[in-house]
Amino acid sequence: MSSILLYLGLLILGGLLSYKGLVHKELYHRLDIVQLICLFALLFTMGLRIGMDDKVIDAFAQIGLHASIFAAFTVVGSVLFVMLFRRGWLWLRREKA
Amino acid sequence: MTLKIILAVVAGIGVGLFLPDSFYGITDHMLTIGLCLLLFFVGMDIGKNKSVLKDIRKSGAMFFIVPFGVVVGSLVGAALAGALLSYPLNESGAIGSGLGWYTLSSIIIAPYSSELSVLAFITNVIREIFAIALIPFVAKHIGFVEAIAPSGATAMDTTLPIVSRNTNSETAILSFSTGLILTMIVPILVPFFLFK
Repeated sequence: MSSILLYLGLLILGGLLSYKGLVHKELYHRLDIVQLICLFALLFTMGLRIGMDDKVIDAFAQIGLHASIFAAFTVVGSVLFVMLFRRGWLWLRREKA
Repeated sequence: MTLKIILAVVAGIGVGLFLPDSFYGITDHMLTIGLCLLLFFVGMDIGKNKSVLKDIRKSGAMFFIVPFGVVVGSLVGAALAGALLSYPLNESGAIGSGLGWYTLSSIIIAPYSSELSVLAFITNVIREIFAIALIPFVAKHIGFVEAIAPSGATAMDTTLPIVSRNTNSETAILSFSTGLILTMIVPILVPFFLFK
């Protein structure tokens, strides 16, 4: 729970500082690069942990198959529920009118 | 970009194969500090867009309906896939709540389990590839609004040009606001399933 609050707090704090124009110009114009540096450092670190874990290295092919199934189900689920909610909303609006 | 991201992970894996186990604990702190910095800068990037409030007003009720549908659909889909493959519900939920943001979701999961982190990473990379392939089909045969759904959190950046090219300007604005909401939800939703 504390990590959720920390992540959300930092996201909001960053957004507010930027929206109110309280970020130094140099940083403001280089946000893309700063984000990329953080991102690649994190991805490299994540890779380190994967490389150090023998269990993951041994199960790579199986993980690929499972990932494809998870991806297909989440994409289809998203499309179906957006369609369902949108049609439900339109139906409600028609009923009210 | 996707290729560079995959290369960064592969380079890390290559180095990790030769590192002693004692280094594993240090990577925990590296991930936490790096993640805090990244989210702070992502927040700044979102705040840069001064027209966010205008975009929200233009989208109306769909501003809430589309992201809500994407979240519920992703979680239900992941729960079904997880049941099929015998994964615990909380782990399936964590994978589904990546919502296509493969870098962040896998990094948040990494301290919990490297195996699950890899699964989340590959799942969400494949989700982006599926989205790129499916958006034109969904836009043509199902509907413009539904065409935003496969993208998940990438609806505001990498897949936005594809949504825009295959739908209209109103849908493109809705796609951006959907991606924005989902981007803010991922850092809350993923840990919710894993950490107590």
